[in-house]
Amino acid sequence: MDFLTISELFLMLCLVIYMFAGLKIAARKTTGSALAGVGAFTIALAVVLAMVSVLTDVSFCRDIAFALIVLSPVGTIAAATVLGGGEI
Amino acid sequence: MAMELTMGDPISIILGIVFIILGIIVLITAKGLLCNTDDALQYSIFGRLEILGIVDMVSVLILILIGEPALGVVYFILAPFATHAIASGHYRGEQGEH
Repeated sequence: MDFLTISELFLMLCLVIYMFAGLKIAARKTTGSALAGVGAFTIALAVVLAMVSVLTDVSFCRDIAFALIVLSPVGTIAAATVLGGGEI
Repeated sequence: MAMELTMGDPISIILGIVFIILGIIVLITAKGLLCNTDDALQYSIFGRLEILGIVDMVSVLILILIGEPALGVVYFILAPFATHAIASGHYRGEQGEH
């Protein structure tokens, strides 16, 4: 196993730990924290999926990552608009 | 099964070192998030959004370095809008309950 693969696996492990931290933030009291935590979870998941597609040549992981990366901010903006009372 | 560690070409070594540094940054950020769960602290959400912004940009860098520049550029453009929307939505909608 070469050094680059080991470092990519290490980075994926760090992102998984970060996903748990994002979930903890998502469970906080206010809705703003929930949006922030879910946003963090989603981007970390998308990067892990993109790295899986690079490491293992599973191409649909990249498509899922692309969908997550595009739709996550769009959903966050929509929910934040409602949270803010229709204005941003 | 002998597990041999091969270093590979210099570019891979540099990329590997960069990935390890980025991983450590993500771990520090995760610790920052886990230790910042006090809801009574005013403006705590804006602090959390600031912390999340670090990993947003680290994610953009990772996506570009692993060979997915399209994903990286798309997220580089969208992430600030999402973060601003959360901060603005929270400020307008919930600031009274901080």
